[in-house]
Formats: sequence, C-alpha cells, structure tokens
Amino acid sequence: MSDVLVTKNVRKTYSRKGHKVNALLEVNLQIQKGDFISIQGPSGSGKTTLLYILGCLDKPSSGKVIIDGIETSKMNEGKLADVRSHKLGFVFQSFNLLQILNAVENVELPMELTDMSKAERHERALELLKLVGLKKRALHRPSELSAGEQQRVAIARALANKPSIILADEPTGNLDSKTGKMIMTLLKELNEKTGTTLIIVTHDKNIAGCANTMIFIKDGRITQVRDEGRSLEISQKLKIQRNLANKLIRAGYDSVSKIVAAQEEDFRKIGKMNMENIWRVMKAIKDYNEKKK
Amino acid sequence: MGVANRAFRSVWRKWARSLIVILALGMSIATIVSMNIGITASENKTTDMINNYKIRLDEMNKTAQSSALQISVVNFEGMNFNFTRPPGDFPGNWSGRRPSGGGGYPGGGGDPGGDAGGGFFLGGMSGSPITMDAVTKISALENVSVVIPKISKSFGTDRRDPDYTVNGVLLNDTLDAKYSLLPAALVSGHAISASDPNEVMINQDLKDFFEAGVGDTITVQGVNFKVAGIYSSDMDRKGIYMSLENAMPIANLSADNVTSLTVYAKNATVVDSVTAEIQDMYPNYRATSVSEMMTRQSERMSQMEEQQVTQLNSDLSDIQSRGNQLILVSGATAGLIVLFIMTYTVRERIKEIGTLKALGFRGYNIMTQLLLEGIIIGFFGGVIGILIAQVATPFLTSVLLPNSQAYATASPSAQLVLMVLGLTVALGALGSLYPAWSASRKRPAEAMKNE
Repeated sequence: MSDVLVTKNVRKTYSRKGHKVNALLEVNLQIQKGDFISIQGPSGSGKTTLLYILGCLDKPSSGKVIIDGIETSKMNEGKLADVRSHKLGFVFQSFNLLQILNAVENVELPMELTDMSKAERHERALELLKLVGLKKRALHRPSELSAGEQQRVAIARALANKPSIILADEPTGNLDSKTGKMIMTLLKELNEKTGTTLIIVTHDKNIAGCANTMIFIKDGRITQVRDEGRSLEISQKLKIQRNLANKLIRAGYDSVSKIVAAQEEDFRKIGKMNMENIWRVMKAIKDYNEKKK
Repeated sequence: MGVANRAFRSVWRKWARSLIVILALGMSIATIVSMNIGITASENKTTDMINNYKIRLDEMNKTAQSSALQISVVNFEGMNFNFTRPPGDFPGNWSGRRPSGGGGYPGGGGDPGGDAGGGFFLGGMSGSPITMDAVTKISALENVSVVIPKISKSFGTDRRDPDYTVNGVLLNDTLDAKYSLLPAALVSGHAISASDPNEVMINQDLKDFFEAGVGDTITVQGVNFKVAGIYSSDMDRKGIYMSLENAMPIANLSADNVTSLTVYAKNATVVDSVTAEIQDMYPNYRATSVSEMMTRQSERMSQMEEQQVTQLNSDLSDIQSRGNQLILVSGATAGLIVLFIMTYTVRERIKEIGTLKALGFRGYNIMTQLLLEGIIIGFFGGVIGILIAQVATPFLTSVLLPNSQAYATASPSAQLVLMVLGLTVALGALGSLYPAWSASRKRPAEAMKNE
C-alpha cells in the first residue's frame, strides 16, 4: 500500500510579540491510502495546526510534507490552492457552507475549479447528495437544513473533486451525540466504499475510536500511535512486544532483511501493522535482548 | 454558478445594508450630476446674457448708423426736476433748466409737466409739447426731407421702470416703409395701419402685464384698444404703438400737440446745419443729431456691458470653481463609502474567504468576486443617483450654487448618464480594491481561525 501523505520532521513555530511558540515538534507520519486516522489531543496540543499543515492550509516552519509523492512544504500559495482543490477535501466543525448557495450549489462549488461543464458539475453534485442521503434537499439553503444535514452537505462537497484525502476538523463538534454518530458512520462508510483516506481531528475519544489508527498528540508532539485499539507504545510491556515478535517470526519474518524486503501489505494481513510500528517493535526487542546479555 | 452570480447574491444577501449604501452613494452621485447640469446651465445662461448684450449693442450701432440723417427735436421748456436722473450724461443741457412756473409752453397751455402722474417721459426726461405748427415750419427748411411727429408717454409708479410707454405715430404706410415708424420685428399678428386706427401693437414683454394676445382687447388709461400685433425689441420693451390721434388724449395733450419730432435731413453733410437752424428757430427746443446721441449711448452702453461681462465671467468662474469642488468632494465621498462598506464586508466574511481558499480558490478568484461586489454597488448607486438628480437638480443647484442665475431644470443628457455610470463603476472598483486585495492575501489557516 502506498503512502498518500508523509511528514518528515515537521515543525511549526509561531512568533508572538518576540516570544516563540512551538506548536508542532518533529512530527513524522506515514499515512497510507485508505487509512482512517484520528488525531486526538487536549486543547492547545497542536492537533488543528497539524491538520492545517497536512491540508496545505498552512506551511510548516521546517520539515517536509509530501502528498501523493509531491512535496508541498515549499510550494507557493497558488500551487497549494491547486493541491487543495484536486487532492484534498475538507469538513469543518462549523460546516462552513456558503449561505448564499443552496445545497447542490455548495457541492458544485469546488468543481468550478475543474474542467467539468456546468451540466456535469450539476449531475455529480446530485449524485454526491444522493450518496449522503440528501438529494431531496438539493435546492434548500443551509439555513433551511438541520445541523446534521448541513454537515452531510459539507461531506458531499468534500468529495466533489474525488480527493485522495479528506481532512475533518471536529466534524461532530457542533452536533448532538446521535447526529454525531450518524456522521461518523457515514464517514466510515465513505472511507470503506470510496477508499478515500480520512483524517479526523477530535478531542472526543468515542469519535476517535471509530478510526482504524489513532494518533495522540500533546504539546506539539506525537506521543502515541494506536492501531486498532492495540497500543504500541515504545515503553509498552515486554510481553506484548515478545508476542508480536513471535507473531512476526511465525509468519516467517525472522530477520531484519526479510522485514525490509517485505511489503507493508503483508504486515496488514498479520495484524494491520505499518512499517513504523514494525521498526519500533524490532528496536524494542533488540534493546531488550542487548540488556539481557 | 459563476463568480458574477456569487457576487450579486452576496450583495443581495444583506439587501437592507446594501440599499442604504446604494442610497448614500446615490446622493453623492446626484450631487455630481446636479452640479454638472448646474454649471452647464450657468455657462449657457452667461453665454446667452453676453450674447444679448452684444446683440443690443449691435442693434444700437445699427440704429446709430441708420439714423445718420435723423435729428431729434424735443421741447424742454417747463421741465420739472422732481425725478431721478438716468445713469450717465444725456445730450443737451436739460440739467440747467428750471421750472418755469405756470404754463410756460411755446404755444401755451398744457401741463406744467414733470411728475409721473401728469408729465411725460422721453428716455427718462420730462418735457413740454410741441405744436404741429412747428412741424410745418421745420418742414419748410431747405435741407429738410421730412418731419415726423411722435408722442411718447410712460405710465407707472417707478420712473426708471414704467409699466408701459405709449408711442403715438403717424399711420402712413409710405412713411413707415421708408422710415420704420413702427417696430419691424413682429412676433405675431400684423402692424397697425391707417385703415384701423383703433388697433395697437404691443411688445411681447407686455403680454403678461395685460394678459392679452393678438385679437384681445386691452385698456390703456381707460381707453380700449384691440391688439393687432405683438413685436419684439430689446430697445423698447414696454412699448405700445397706436395712432397719433389716439395717443394725444392718453398723453393728456391737446389736439395738434406732440411730444417730439424726428426730422430727416436730405443728406448726412447737412445734418449739423439743419440741427443748428432748428435750434435757432426754436431756442426753447432741443435739437440733437440722433446719430451723435446714439453713438454716445452706444459708447456708454459698451462700457457698462464690458463691466457686466467681466462680472458675469467672474461669477461664472466662481460657480464653476464651487461646482467642481462639490463634484470632487462628492466623488471622494462616494469612493470612501464603497471602501468602508467593502472593508467591513471582508472582515465580516473572513471565514467564508478562508473556506473558499480551503476549497482551492486562489487569491485572484477572491479578489475578482469582491471587486465585482464593489462594482455592483457602485453601478446601482449611479442609477439611483441619476434618478434622484432627475427630480432634485433644481433644488440642489439652488442650494449648492446660490450665485447661479440658472436654476437648472434640464435632465441629464445621454452622454452625462454614461459618464456618470462609468464613474460610479470605477469608484466601486477603486473603493473595493484595497479590501479585495487584502482578502486575497489572507492565509487560509489565519482566515479559518477567525470567529
């Protein structure tokens, strides 16, 4: 499985009245196509900043951001706009629909930046609204829609230009729990159906738990990456590491070289582990064995 | 849905606020249009007035030339000093005359003359009657071609601006054809003639005074006359022409008395000698070469008119200056209105701008939409301004250009309308330029964080 989004040593520093504020420190991520990632953290931890950098809404102070093999960290605003329009889709906490447009016009809006004709745009917009269950409300303005309906329109809009990645900033933040669950179900279904990579920022553990991979961030640093509920912290218990190591060995990966030569797809079959996690486990095992000696 | 459609909808969304802004713009534009019309009207009026002066001067010069053979004879005996002198000197030594006491007229009888109620005027002067006997005697002079008697009396309470002047003339077609006894510039109707001596001709300026037109009956000092014709003349604005016989009782003259004579010499070389002969024959009369008199009047009028023209040009210059200042201030105000409202709009919609950028819209897309919004506001402001100006121009010019003599009533021309609409579109674009540019440069993350 190829990486759709990679960050290497990304930092973001703000200068406020002569003081420097480190919003992000040494962020390294590898996100693959089709992943459903949640980024969790307390308020002020840098999760929204990270999302904006991943979504090319902001530039890192240093480090690299690579989307679909294209480095975006040094691009000018014009080229970043092109990346946003063709490769990314956004869902915001406040929906951010244009009040002067009705539902179908809001969904058509990103398609104005493509070569599609007016009729094609309209047709696709209606299809997307049907996908989110709102075709009958196509001509309604946002003020005539409920919060949940507005967010569904926003999701349809995010899918307009068939993006590689959808980034959602607290998509259920302004919704009641029932509606929030419905939205998350919809997002998960879309992730599975369309294979679009989905990255969600949330402070809600329940919402975050819907994702396949959970990234924890605190004070600008990634502290934990959890895959399907199993914690692979560096300081995790040895037993789990040993069990994992055994699993790798039983699967035939009994040497570093075999692990390096293998495709990540193979590890997914074992336990949906990605390369970074494998390396961490291997390193932990190696350190343990050396101490033991 | 294109950028123009979005721009229009954005303006319409806050329709109440947009309406207020458009009305405010409209008032500025109405002022610009009104000042333009007012200045043009003042320029036209000034040109007309200057041209009228020139026409009057030309008329006077022509009269002077055409009256080269004319000698004016009046009787200043028994003159009364109780009236206001006209400006400037008048030929003749009338200022040295004194009241003669009772009945000092050549030929006897008659009024003491002098005041407005009982006397008669000659260009502001008061004199005594001349008998027809003098006509016969002067006619007999060798170098005299013809003597034409005339009666002229003004009526009214203000000597300087009488209500009307009765002119009694000989109704003789042959003499009229040769010597223009009657005004030539007929506006309507026909000239009076001996065939119907009870008709009159009036100056068109007296139509309102008598509330009469051709065919109507007017009453002059208790006597009814039918209006045969209406003439125009700047030299003789309050004139009523009638037969000599009808004018005599109105002028309170006994039969065979007239107020002045016009003597025609046989040729220009003998005018002075004939003038002297008449003066010798009638020392109490004043004989003056009309040409000489008209030339002096023409010179005086020319001087006065030069002063008038200078004053008119100076007034016009003031009006133009004031009008142009008001145009500039109004234009600047209109631009500032658009700048203010667009700056406020950008601040209000910063999150929307961030969303558009997040969707992939570039800075120039954002800028184009905001510029269009400014242009839409400017355009409709222009339309409203032109409509307001249609109605309010007379009021605005009277209040803002109080020195203007021309209270403009004209509608804006097609050219002015196009120019104003172009100006308002430009102002709309200019006023929204900075806010649009500022919005286009907002970083998406910065804009998205704005609440």
